[in-house]
Formats: sequence, C-alpha cells, structure tokens
Amino acid sequence: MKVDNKPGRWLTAALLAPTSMWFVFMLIFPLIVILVFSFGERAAVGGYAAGFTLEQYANLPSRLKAFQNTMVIAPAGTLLSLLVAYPLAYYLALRVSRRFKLMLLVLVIVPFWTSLLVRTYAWIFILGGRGIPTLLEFIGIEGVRLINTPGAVLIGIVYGYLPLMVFPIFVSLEKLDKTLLEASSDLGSSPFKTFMQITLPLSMPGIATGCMLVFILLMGEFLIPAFLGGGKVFFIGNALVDLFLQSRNWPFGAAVSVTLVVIMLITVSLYMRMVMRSKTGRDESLM
Amino acid sequence: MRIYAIAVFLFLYVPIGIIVLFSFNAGRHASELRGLSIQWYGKALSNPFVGDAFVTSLIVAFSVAILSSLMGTAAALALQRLKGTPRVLFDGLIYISVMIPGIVIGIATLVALVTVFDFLNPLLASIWPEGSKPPKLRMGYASVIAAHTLFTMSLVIILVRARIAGMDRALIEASMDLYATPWRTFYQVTLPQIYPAILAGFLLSFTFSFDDFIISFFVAGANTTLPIYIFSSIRRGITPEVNAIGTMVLAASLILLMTAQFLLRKRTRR
Amino acid sequence: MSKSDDNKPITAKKFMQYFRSYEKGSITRRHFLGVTGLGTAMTVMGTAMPSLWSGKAHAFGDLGDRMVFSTWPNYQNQVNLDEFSAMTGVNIQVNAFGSNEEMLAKLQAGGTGWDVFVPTNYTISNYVALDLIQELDLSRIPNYDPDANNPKFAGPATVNGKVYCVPKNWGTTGFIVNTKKIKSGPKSWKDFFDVTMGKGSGHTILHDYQLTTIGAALCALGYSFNSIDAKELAEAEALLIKSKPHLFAITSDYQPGMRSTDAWMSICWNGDGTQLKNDMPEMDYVIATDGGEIWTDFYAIPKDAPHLDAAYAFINYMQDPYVQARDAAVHGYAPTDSRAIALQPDSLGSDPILHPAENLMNGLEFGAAQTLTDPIRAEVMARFKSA
Repeated sequence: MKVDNKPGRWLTAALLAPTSMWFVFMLIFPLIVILVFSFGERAAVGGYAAGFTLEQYANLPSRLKAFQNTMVIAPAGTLLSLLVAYPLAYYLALRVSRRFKLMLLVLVIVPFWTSLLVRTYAWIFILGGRGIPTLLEFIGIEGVRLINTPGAVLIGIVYGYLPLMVFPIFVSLEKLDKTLLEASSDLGSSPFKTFMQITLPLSMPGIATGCMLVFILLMGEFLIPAFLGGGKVFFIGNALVDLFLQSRNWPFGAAVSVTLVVIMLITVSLYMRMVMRSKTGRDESLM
Repeated sequence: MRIYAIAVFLFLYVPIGIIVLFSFNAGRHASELRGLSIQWYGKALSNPFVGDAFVTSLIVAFSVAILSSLMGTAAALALQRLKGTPRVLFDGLIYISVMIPGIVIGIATLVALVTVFDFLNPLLASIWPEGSKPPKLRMGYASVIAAHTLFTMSLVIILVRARIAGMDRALIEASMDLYATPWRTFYQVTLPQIYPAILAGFLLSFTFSFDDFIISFFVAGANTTLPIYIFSSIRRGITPEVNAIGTMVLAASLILLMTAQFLLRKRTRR
Repeated sequence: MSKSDDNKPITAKKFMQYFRSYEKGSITRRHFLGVTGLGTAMTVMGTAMPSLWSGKAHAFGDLGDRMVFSTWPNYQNQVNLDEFSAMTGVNIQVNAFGSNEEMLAKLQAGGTGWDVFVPTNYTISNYVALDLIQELDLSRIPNYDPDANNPKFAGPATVNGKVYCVPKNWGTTGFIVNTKKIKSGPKSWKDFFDVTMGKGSGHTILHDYQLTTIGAALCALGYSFNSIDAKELAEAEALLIKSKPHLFAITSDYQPGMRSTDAWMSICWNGDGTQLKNDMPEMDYVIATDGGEIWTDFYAIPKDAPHLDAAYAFINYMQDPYVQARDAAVHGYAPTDSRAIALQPDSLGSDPILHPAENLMNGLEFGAAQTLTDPIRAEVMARFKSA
C-alpha cells in the first residue's frame, strides 16, 4: 500500500527505464529483423535479398540431424553436469568450514577465467591419439577413439559448464537453514531421508536455475562441438555459424535462428511448468 | 565426500595443468613437449596484440559487469512494485532474453545493426557539413557490451530477485514502521541482504563476458577480445604462446583470489 | 635538435643489428637449415636493395605501429613478419581463416579492420563486383615485377583492366597419405574415397571448405572439379554423406590431426604436404590422377583498410624476391615470381611437390568464380556437414 503512490511510481519507472531500453533495442528489434529476414531470399552473392517466401522454412528438414544432435546432447550434458556438480556444491555449502568455503568456491570459478577455448583445446590433446588412448594401450586396450565423438563433446560440456551448475546450487544450499537439518537428524531421520525430504527439495530452485543456465548455453553451443567434435558432431550453433560465415545464406540462417528460439521457448516453458508443478518449486527462485 | 570433491577438482585442474606445462614448451608445436623454456612468455608479453586483446576484454567485461549489476539490481527492486500487464511483459522479456542462445543474440544483433548502419550511414553522410568527414557507424565496443549486457542484466535480475524473495520481509516492515526513509531502509536493510546476490551477479557477468567468444565473434567488428585472439591463434596452428596467455590469465586471477582471501582474513582477525 | 635525431629512421648499423638477430632466430629453426645460405645472401643483397634500404627513409616514415593481416594457417615465415616489424615498427596481427567463403562473409558484414588479406584467384572478380577491395597503386609496390610473373598465375589479379592484387604464390590441391598406416598407395580421388570407406575408415580428414571437399568428390566421380551441375552435385553429396561416418574430422586445419597420427589421410595443399613431410618422412603428397585444383593466392587490400600505408609497405616488402624465397622455404608453396624461384636452393627448385611435372598437372583446374558463389554448392556442403 505504502509504495503505491505517485513518487513511488516514478521511481519504479526510472529504475526500469534502462532495462526497458535494452530490451527494446537489443532484444525486440533484432528479433523482429531476424523474423523479417527469415522470409526473405538469399542474394545471388550471398547475404539477404528482400522478398516473401516460406522456402527457408521448407528447407529446415535439411538441418534435422543438427537439431537432433542438439536436442539429445544438450539435455544429456545438462543432466551429467548436474550429477557431477551437485555433490560438489553440497560439500562446499554444508561440509566445508567457513574459512575454506570462499576459497574453494572461487577455485571452482577460476577455471572459468581461463579461456574456455584454451581449456577445450587441452581436451583435444587429452582425448586425442596421444592422450588417453595411448595410456589405454599400455594396459592393453587398443583402438579406442575418443576425439571427435559425442562422448568427447559431452566431456567437454561437463568440463566447461561445471562452475555454472555448481554456483546456483551452492547459493541455494548456502541459504538453507541448517537448524532444519539438525532438527531432522535430532528427530531420528536417516541422513538419506534428511537429504531427500529437506535438502534436495530446498535446493530445487538452485538445481532448476543451474540446469536452465547450462541447457540454454548448450542449445547455442558452437565451440565445444567444433573443437571436440571435429565437424562430425554438429550442433545447431555450428549450422548457424556455417550459414552466416560460410554459405552466407542469411535468410535461411534467420529461419534456423527463429526455429531455435521457438524450440527454446517451448522446451523451457514446459520445463518451468514441470518445475513449478512439483510442490517445492517456487517460481520466484526461477524467474 | 571429500574424495569426490578432490576428484572433481582434479578433473577441473588437470587440463589446466597441461596448459601450464605446455606453456613452458621449448618446441613450436603445442602438441609435443620438446624441453622447457620460457620463450613463449616473452613472445606473448612483447606481442602488442595480446595486450590489446586483453585490455579490450577487460574493458568489455568490466563495463558489462557494472552495467548489468546496476541495471539488473534496479530492475529487480522495481519489479517488486510492478503489477499487472507491465509485470507480465517484463517477466516475459527477462525470460526470453535469458533463454535465447548467445549465438542467436550474436547473429540477430549483427544482422540488425548491419541493416541499421547501412540505412543510417548514407543518411549521416548526406546531412554532414561538407568538407569534414562524416562519422561512420560500425561494430565496436558499444555493440559487444550492449549484446553481452542483455543476457547478464537479466541474469542479475533473476539472482537478485531470488534473494529478495528469500529475504526477511519483517525487517523491512519494521524499518518502515520505525519511520526510516525508504533510502535508509534500502541502504541499511535491503542492500546488506541482497548484496551477496549482486556480487554473484557481478562475478557471473564478468566471467561470462570475459570468456564469451560467440557473441563477440559476430558483433565485435574490428575489436579483438582475448577469446577471439585465441580462437584465431588456434586456427593459425596453435603455438605454446596461447598456453602462455592462458597461464598468465589464470595466474592473475589466482593472485587476485589470494589477495582477497588474505585481506579478508586480516579483517576478520582484527 | 636531438628530437629530430629520434625521428630519424632506423640507422644502417641498427638495421644490420636487427637483421643479424633475426638471422639467428631463423637458424635455430630446423626448417631453415636448408636456406641459411639464402639468408646470408639476403643480408648482403639487402644493403644493395633500394627498396629495402635507401628508400626506407621516406617509405617507412609514419606507418603507425600495427596492422592486421588475414591469411591461411601455416602460410607465412614468422622471420619475415618479425623482420618487417623490426624495420618499420609496424606490428602485424595475423588472422588465419579456413576458407575463402569465410573471408568473403567477414568482408561482406563489414568493419573487419583488416589491412591486407590473401584471397585466392577465383574470388577476386567477386570482391571487385561487391566493391570490397581496392585497386592497387602499383607505384607503391616497386618490388612487384609484372614481367617476372607467369601470366597463367597472375592473370586473375587484373579485372576490367585494373590491377587489384599481386600474387603471393601458387599451389595444387591433392591429398596427403601417411604411408606407415596406409600401404595401398592411393593415386586418385576415387582411391582416396575407397580407402576412406575401407581400410582407412575413421582416419580421413576432409576440408571444411566446399570448394576442395566437393571438388574432390566430383573428381572421384569423374566430373569437373568446378561443376555446378545440380545432378553431378547431388551425386557428389551422396558420396560425401556416405563417407561421413568414416571420417576422422571435417576441418581445414588438418596438420595437427595428421601430426598426431589420429588421421592417416587428408585433402591437402601441396605446401602443407611439404611441411608435414619435412617432419615426418612417411607422409606422401599425391596429386590425384583424376583431377584436382591448381590455384594462386594473392595479396589484396580491403576497401576500408585502416592502415593503408602499412598495407602497401607490407605488400611491397613481401614482393621482394628474397623475402618471397624465404617465405616459400617455410610454407612450401612455389612463388609465381621467376626472380624468387631463381633464388631458391636447388633442392627446392627441383622439388616435385613444389614444382610438379607438367603432365601431372594436366588434369588440374583453376577454381572458377561461380564455383565460389554457387548457392547449390554452398548448400550441399552445409547439408553434408549437418548430416
């Protein structure tokens, strides 16, 4: 009640002004341009020529494999990252003394400060013929190929996005009221039961945020499949870079972009609905 | 549990160890170790383009982090008061801007800006006083920073809003009841509570921007950020120079981290 | 007064110092062992070369301190670049690209900041049509001698009577085979694809470049490297997609894969073949009997190059015959300039990879301008990659 007065309204508007400007110029306008372009034609030498045709959308099935790859590997990579990240976040949030907490947390983020490119490059070497396969040969396993396979891309994904998953889960576990955990164990609950009934539900918002962040970034991923997939594990992101930087087919690239955005809208909406429907998911924590 | 944590840290740091090891490679190819040397550090440090790229990345990442934490926090606070259609609209926009893959942002921004510039540049040239050279709009710092900020700003809003949601409202009401000015309430009650979220948002924004390749690749124009420089180096046949650059960035962040830890500890002891 | 001393261009003594230090740098490299004699000649001749020497006072006046050079991977002698920087104070940022399409796309989007780039013969008329490159002022490139360049290679530089670029070197597109791994000795593109889908499955690299990859498939099917016939391209696409599960990678940067022996065979430009063979004698470069590409790369200046003076100075420097020869000694491609060829050591002048016998080259074609821009080819490649 108190804030619903006139100066309050002005303040709200002023606080929202820069953000609104950004949304209009950097989000809505570019998306409209992309949408318009997606109905155009490819100019003779490449680029865009005005027109109205549904040809670009009709050509979408030619990128089916890229869509499939993305739609399978992105969720798988997200899940794998979650499985690796959760125990670490749990350990950092609840089992480490205050003194080391910050340091360890930053240690998780520091790799993020070394270029993802360089780190991914290191994996080319580790997974390449002279890396792990050579080590495996010593123990008698021969002919293993890791590099340029979906497995290699998955490893790169977990490696690259782990910090992004750990961080939100850590934050939500940090916030967790520790007296609840103590009460639970005082009441004789087994650690597993405490985890399932208290810790996990309360960390749901963190899990949801982390998964969404990683999933979104993976849907547009370009570098990791380009480096560790050797052009053989092709994501939509790679197809897009190709369309804009090799075949210079802007309208088709625009159509693929629009399709990708629509797919994202649908999947993420479904996902959010699912999260919200589960009794503990609180929408505020997500959005 | 601890063993698991150690294993994950190993997973995180073994590749980095390899990067560091190969940065001391005496040979020219990054894939085979031929004796140790620090020559690549000398080469990287004396290469002005590495310095340029580093400075460009720092400028971009700092601008992005500052802009997004300020704008994001402001918006998150204001959204508490917003109701009805505007609220739904805003939530939708935040949701979409976080959800759209970076590559689409990069492409859409590129296509939109190229179109606008192609339209505006001749216009500018025609109205410009004769004799002087008309300005030419092109991709640069502004376009990268703006494109990065779209995503990170929304990220900050989400983080701060989550924190506000989990905040103790009784405190604010108590403060209001005690006739504290709204500004004082904000400064003394709200800010300390949401501060960790803002800091997290700042850090995430910075790291996102500093490490981003794909958006910058499309909209940075002639500016070269560090990831773009490294991408180009890898393509031209990677030399241990890239490893040396990566190692130096890592060392710098570690030093920062240790200084922070040291200062914090000193303060708590006092 | 002392101020004017500072502004003086580099002194003769200093120049020699720089030069020697870079000579030293070159000698430590294995690649250069064969050309040390050449390097010495360069030092001696350098003093006498007007372009490098006396003209410097004016030519190297105020070139700024940096320029951007966009080229291909493994394609320049670092010693030359360093020497140019030392002489002029201009630092060079080298960008490497994977295909001409990519360069074209970047230039079309605008604002690249490039000063000099290296287009291939068939792209030039397109760049001119799109108004993306500058007509060259040849008076600013005195080291370029049109009469010394074989018109077969230098021809595409001239469009509508205007010269837009000067040649860098020429080469062929064939394939490289690791003979320790593949012993059957493939000779043609047909063999290449047969081995890929047979004994060598999982170890072949195709370029991330429609021109060479589709061209190779077309040749294997008995068609022209340049075909833009929809039916022939459909067959080529089918062959490529069939071979895809048997590939190691699709990338234009194939040296690392070949060096680590993850890959056994790759589409390859002849100079890269030489570079690989120098380090690994088991590598064999093959000009396919059923066709392939012959090409020339050029130096050109984009329309909006920010450092025009540095760009001209750089191209002029790179046109110096000695510099050309020294460049070729590292990248392994043959100069088009007879003055530079004359300076090459005998071992290189008669090298079969650098200068293949005429009869081997009979089947090779120059890429055509429409091969680059043909929308069907672009789409076939994109479909193959996302298949």
